[in-house]
Amino acid sequence: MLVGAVVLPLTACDLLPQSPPVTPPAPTADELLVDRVVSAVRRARDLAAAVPGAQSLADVHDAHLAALGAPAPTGSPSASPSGAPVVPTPTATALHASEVALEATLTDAADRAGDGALARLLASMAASIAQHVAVLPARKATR
Amino acid sequence: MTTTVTPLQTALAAEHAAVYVYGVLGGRASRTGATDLSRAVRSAYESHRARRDRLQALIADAGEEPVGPAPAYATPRRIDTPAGIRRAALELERSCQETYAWVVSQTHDGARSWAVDALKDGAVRGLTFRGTPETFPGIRELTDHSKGLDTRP
Repeated sequence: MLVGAVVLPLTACDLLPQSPPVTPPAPTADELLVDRVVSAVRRARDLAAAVPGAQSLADVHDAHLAALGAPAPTGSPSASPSGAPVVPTPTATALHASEVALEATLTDAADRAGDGALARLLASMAASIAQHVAVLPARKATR
Repeated sequence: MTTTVTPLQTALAAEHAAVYVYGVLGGRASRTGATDLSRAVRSAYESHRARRDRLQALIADAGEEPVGPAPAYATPRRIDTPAGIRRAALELERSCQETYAWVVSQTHDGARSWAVDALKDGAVRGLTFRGTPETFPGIRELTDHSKGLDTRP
């Protein structure tokens, strides 16, 4: 019975006239925009997570990713397999540069979003990062 | 054009209120002798006045009559102390941030870019009265998503 149940559908499929392959719809401009933003936030999140004392900033990035429907993967993203070269700890200056770049990315994305609600969310995220950049030690040191 | 101007009119109404309230807070702050607070309130007042003037120009350039200020505004309560003034200023900044976040959702192109900038500017200015960054400035309903990162007073 089981064999027949498996074979029959296959046979039936072979008999069907050729139907066009089912292709997923092309992503919308906003979906592509969100993909780019998620990648940028994840990069900034990984760097912040590797900087001593910047875990709270990594947590903010996690909250932003969750709001975009892309929760951060669990575990340390920067963990390297045994025997791999040790990646140097990013500096506060690198963190500052990363956050400034992310703020610019979010601002640009907010400007470009087609959906108003998405634009509002991205603008709020940009404002949050602007706040965090304003209180980062690297910025204070350069004043 | 009206679809863009209407949100800007809402933002202008918010800025009229902000200019008025900061005027009141400035007078109270100067009486407390807290010079840093007085300076912060004055700076915020000037920033909002500049935003108001720019909004008036944007709306006029679009061929519409900018809304005027209301005859009077509710004055915040318990603003006799520096802490009370800070609290009132922070609440005012948050209100403006929510307005600008909404304007972002209702506009496109140059008007939206301007609103995004105003939201970011207000969020950073709010640090003067709050001290710590937020996770979703201007979006009150998302505060719960911050998992305790925000510590709203």
